Amino acid sequence: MKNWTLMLFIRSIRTSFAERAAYRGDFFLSFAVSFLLELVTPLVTLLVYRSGTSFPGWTMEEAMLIQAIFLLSRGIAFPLFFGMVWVVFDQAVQGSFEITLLKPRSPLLLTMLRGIDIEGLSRLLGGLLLVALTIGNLPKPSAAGWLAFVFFMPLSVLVLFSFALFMAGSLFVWIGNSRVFELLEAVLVFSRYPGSIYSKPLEWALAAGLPLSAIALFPAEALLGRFSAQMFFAVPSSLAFFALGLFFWKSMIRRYAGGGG
Amino acid sequence: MPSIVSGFKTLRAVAFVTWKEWAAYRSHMLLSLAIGPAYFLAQVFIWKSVFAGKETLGGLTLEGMLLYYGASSVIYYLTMDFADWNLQMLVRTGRFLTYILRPMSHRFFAFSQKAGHRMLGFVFEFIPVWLIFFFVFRIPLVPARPFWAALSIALAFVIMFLINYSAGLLAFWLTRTDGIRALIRLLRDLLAGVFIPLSFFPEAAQKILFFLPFQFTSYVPVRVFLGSYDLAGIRLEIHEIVGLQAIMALAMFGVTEALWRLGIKRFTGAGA
Repeated sequence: MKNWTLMLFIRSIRTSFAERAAYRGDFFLSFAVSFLLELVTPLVTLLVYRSGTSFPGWTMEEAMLIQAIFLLSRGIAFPLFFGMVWVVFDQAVQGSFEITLLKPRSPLLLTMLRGIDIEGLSRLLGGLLLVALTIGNLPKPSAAGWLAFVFFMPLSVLVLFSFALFMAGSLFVWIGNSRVFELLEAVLVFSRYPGSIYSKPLEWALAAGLPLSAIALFPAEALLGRFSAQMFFAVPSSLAFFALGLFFWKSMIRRYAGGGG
Repeated sequence: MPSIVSGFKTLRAVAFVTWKEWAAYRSHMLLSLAIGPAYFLAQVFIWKSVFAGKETLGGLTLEGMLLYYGASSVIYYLTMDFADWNLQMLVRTGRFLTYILRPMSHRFFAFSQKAGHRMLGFVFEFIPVWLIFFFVFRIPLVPARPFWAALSIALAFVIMFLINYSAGLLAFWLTRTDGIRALIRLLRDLLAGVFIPLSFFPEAAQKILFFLPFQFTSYVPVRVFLGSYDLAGIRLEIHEIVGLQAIMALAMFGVTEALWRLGIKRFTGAGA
């Protein structure tokens, strides 16, 4: 069973490569631009610090670490999970999602595999590079810090995957709404900055409510050796958010009416 | 004179049809009611924290900074378009063929479509978000000099369209233009001051930015809206910078015209 899933995964990656190889120039440019787009937030941070100010309690390198981890997490989640949003978008508009439903595999797995987007891997490379660069300019993280980081990174990807589930699920009903990505970016902007810029209630809401701080802030704080009660509460809230995402996907898929075309 | 009247009638007809077409998706537009204020809320937190103990940053006070982002946000609803995506899609699929057989220029047709689309944006995005800024964030987005602000926004509307249309025209050479369009979009927004006011850029960069068309799509209309303009140490009166904006609109018209004349020779209608 596992071998089939792995085989499907490898074939999906190969297909994704083959599709984009037809327009290689455009692929390489898109690959580079995906990375450059992600550098906008660190650039804004750089310009803010260059103007002689700072985020309270955070040096520029520490703030950059949050944004580097954000990029790393997106670099994992976007190529693997977010393509499925476009797959559902297209198939719901055309009314062809039935084909996925008829296949003898989990629709979620098939949609995810169909949506694998190798272009997004540039974010992963960029994230790795940026994390390495920023960590190089900071004191060496402790072993406990690394351990906590290794624990929080999968949680971070899980939260992003949950967002993909919500977005893809919504498109079964909200047919053809390409603006769900804009909505996602508007929400994710809160996960790119130090918690100290927010009011206390919002800081808590971003940890124990909608766990946006689990995406980049807590993995970064783990590496910096800053542990807080909020990090503890982010664990169950992230898992609950994922369970809710899964439930939402399953509920919405039942409401798919195949009315496109 | 008759050609201006008939041109206006055509624009009105295409804009009306586009309005009707997109009105079916008004719930998509209403997402702006969440997106715009969410971005703005993040900016409020960011700038309130970095302004702590500072009077001005990048030549703006905290109040000025929030007005900058508020104005930038609502002006975007009046100027945005996707002429680049639309044109490249038509060229790539060969459907562009039907447009060159029509008795009007595609550029004017696309411009008229944008007019209709943005009129809908005015009703479903601009007005509600303006009200949210006013009542929820207490940001009074009232232009310092309404006539010049309206003129500057109108010119930004035209320049934004011409930049995007030029990007779309690249499809005549490249067929698939996702990468180059994303790059142009990134440069356009970054160098237009959408992410951060241009006064935060290093002095040398500001001098270059002054001569590029991008600032005229966002930074200039926002500064005109706020009532003063300066960049790279150059301080201009409102009527002077709006005059420069008009010259840039003409220059961009020339760019699209040149690209069109060169590109149309390469169109084969493949895929139609």
